[in-house]
Amino acid sequence: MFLFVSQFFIGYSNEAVESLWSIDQYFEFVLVLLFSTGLSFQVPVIQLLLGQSGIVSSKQMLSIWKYVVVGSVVAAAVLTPSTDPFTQMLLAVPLMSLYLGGAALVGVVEKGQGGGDVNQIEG
Amino acid sequence: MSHVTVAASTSAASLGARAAAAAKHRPGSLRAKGSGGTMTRGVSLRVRAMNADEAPKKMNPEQRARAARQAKMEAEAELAEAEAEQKAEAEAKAKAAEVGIEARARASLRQKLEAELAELAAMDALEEEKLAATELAAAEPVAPVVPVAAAATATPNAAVAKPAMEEGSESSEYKSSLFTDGAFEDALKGVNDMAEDIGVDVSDAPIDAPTIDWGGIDSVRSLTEDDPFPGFDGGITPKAEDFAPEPAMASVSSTPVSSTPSPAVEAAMASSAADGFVPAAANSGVPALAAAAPPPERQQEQVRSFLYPGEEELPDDVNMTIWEHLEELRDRAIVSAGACGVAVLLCFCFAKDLVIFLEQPVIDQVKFLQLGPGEYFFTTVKVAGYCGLLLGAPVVLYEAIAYVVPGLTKDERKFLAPIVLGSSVLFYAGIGFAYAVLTPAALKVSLFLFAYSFYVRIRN
Repeated sequence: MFLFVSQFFIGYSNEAVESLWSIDQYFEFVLVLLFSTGLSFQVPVIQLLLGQSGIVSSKQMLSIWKYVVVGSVVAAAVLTPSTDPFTQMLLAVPLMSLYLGGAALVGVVEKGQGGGDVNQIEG
Repeated sequence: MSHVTVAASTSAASLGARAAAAAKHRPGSLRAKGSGGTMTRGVSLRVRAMNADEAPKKMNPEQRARAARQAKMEAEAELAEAEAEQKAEAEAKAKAAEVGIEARARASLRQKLEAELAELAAMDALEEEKLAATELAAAEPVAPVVPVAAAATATPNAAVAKPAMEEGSESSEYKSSLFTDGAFEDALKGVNDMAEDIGVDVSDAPIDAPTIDWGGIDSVRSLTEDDPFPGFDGGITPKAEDFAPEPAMASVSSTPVSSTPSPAVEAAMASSAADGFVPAAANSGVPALAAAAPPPERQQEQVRSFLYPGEEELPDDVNMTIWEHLEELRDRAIVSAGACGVAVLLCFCFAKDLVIFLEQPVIDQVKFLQLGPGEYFFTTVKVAGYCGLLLGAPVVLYEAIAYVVPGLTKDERKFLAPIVLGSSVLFYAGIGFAYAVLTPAALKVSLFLFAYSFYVRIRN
């Protein structure tokens, strides 16, 4: 995929415009993007911790999916420095799926615990 | 008139006074004070009539005259004493009025009790003097009407003698009415009525016979049982010591009160009502909430097992002082910082390669410039810093986990490895995703154009 993108870049920009970027601004953008994306990918881990400590159940997590959709879109808009909706959705969709996957994982863990452990603390 | 009855009547009377005070503090129940007051007054009149009625029937005239003379002498002595004590009492009352709500603090309470005792003595003296006077005047066996009249006149006299405090006279009548058992029952009934009027449900309060000193504490606890953590009062629950009567007083008064709610409970209700705090038994909303929650024992057990896990749950538990913990934390922080520093230096050595690597997604399309002196240098520093932190992260993570692990239970440890592993994988996956997809995409590459280029490449 990366190769495809690079090849396309060559063919695409050569015809229209020559890009000259400040290296400082570019690295500001790239590094912040990389780290914030890496951190935002920790959502399932936080979900697992919350579900494990009994603060939030998987049903509660799934019941607020509307807010999660809005929140992830907003977070994607903030994290990606470009202004186009495409890049924004490119980050928002993985965030949403990560959240849903985390909720499902918490549900699986809860079920596995409900069978064996009687003394679990339910939220 | 034994000492026991005096003490009992005094404590009961102070209860009445407190209930009246509570009624005064709550604006919605002013009516309660009026009805309770008139009721006790009526009771006391009736009882005094009975007392005066009984005395002449038992003795013959000579004995009566002798007793009357003796009573008069005693009364004179007691009057002098009572005057002095009235002064002290007035001072105490003034002080109590000054202190206001804090009048129920123990010191002033004791003063009040003593003052009321003195008042009681004065009342007795006055009454006996009146009786003696009437009997001396009438040599014949006394008609039952006369003592009633005497007693009836005695009351206004007492009220005139102490015009300063109406509450005090009210409670003193109360006291003098408590010489027989039936009268005591009536008086307590009056107290209960007043308590009901001010919204305190006395009948539901558990009846336990107060044995000694702090007999009321258990029943008080049971009133505040809605609190899921009875151990943690937090200062909201009134302390039992605040309203428990003086130890000696409680032990004396325990005998006649055993058939009714213990004095500590009523005092607690009255005093807490005076403070505006509604006892849990009187509040209907709280028990409903408490019923909805899991039983307090289970909650307690859960909290305790969470806060204090058993020995078998903590495999390598070590006891350390706070300074040892801080030393360990410092050591681990130094190690972490050193690892990160080394990683940053290492990355700085290969900064150029890193920069080229990070430029890869767009290097074919874009030319990079530095628009000022040292811009590239600071860029390399920045890149080296970020990448060094990324490289040093595993060491920091390990140190943090090693610091925390001895405090974790077995159940918590089971989830440590998946969480650390998952978190690391997800973090690097996020970075990879941003590097491979987002960075090119953010540089105005749309999926449509990507597909178009793919189509062009295939056609060529």
